[in-house]
Amino acid sequence: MSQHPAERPELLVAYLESTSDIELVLGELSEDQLGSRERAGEWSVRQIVHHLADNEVADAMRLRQMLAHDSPLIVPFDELLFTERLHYEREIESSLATFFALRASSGAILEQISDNDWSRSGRHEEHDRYTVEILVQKNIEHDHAHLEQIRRALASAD
Amino acid sequence: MNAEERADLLARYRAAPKLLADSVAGSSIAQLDGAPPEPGWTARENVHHVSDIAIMAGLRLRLMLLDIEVEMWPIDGDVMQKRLRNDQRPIGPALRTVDGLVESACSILGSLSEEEWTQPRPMPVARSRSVEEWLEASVRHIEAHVDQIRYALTGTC
Repeated sequence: MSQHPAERPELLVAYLESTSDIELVLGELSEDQLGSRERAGEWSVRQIVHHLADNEVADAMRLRQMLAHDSPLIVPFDELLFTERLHYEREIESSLATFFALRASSGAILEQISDNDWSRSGRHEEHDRYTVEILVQKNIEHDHAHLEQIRRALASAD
Repeated sequence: MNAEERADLLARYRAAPKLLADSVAGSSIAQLDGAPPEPGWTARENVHHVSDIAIMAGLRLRLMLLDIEVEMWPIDGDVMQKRLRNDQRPIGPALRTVDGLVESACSILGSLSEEEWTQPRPMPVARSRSVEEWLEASVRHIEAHVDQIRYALTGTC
């Protein structure tokens, strides 16, 4: 999973640009569209947006932890509990602003760090090895997975 | 904390990102990086520190509401400044991060029941034991660093 240092600029561009795709697909959605979901029991578009923001808060902290501390503990969270307790019926604008701002801020840090910093790691109970680079790759995959989920939810509402 | 005190605190919290942005508005690069009259962080470093701690506070608020007990390691601000290269990064993304996090926290806070506001939470390392205390600590932290920024820029608070 580890990339050659020469490929990291490309990874960083993908990390920064995947939020643009999400911004584009969300555009100006109606309340009905925000409430649409792929099928019963799946998250609505609104819930996915809040999840993206909350996940970004956690990963922004993890990134900073791994860079600032030696082998910090990286704790996985129960995303369903977030949905239940954090009032995901809320408006989405502030979550979107948080998501985009955090990604830009974390991207600015990644632009400055050294090759060695990309290999800094944390202790993650679900991963044998969890580095800055892996976190970035997982963020991109996470964005794409939820982008497709949003697209399917919107398509099912048509 | 009565309703009036909480409303006042919320208003100060909501105003804090603008207070922070205004404190550095119009500053040149040389001013942002100018050493304060006594040893301490530059204006740029203070802005990044506020942003870094706002991220931690944002996560802490969410975990408090989930009643999750998580090891929150002690923060060494000086180490973070150095390792995150806060003296080299532009402050725009950091200011927008504080803005977004405060807005989303206000959105969450606006949805809370009275019980959720005051319920003691299992956060052994954090100083905040309830959402009310979290809010108070968050407001004070940003305002304190705005004072430090003014000091770094002008020599007076």
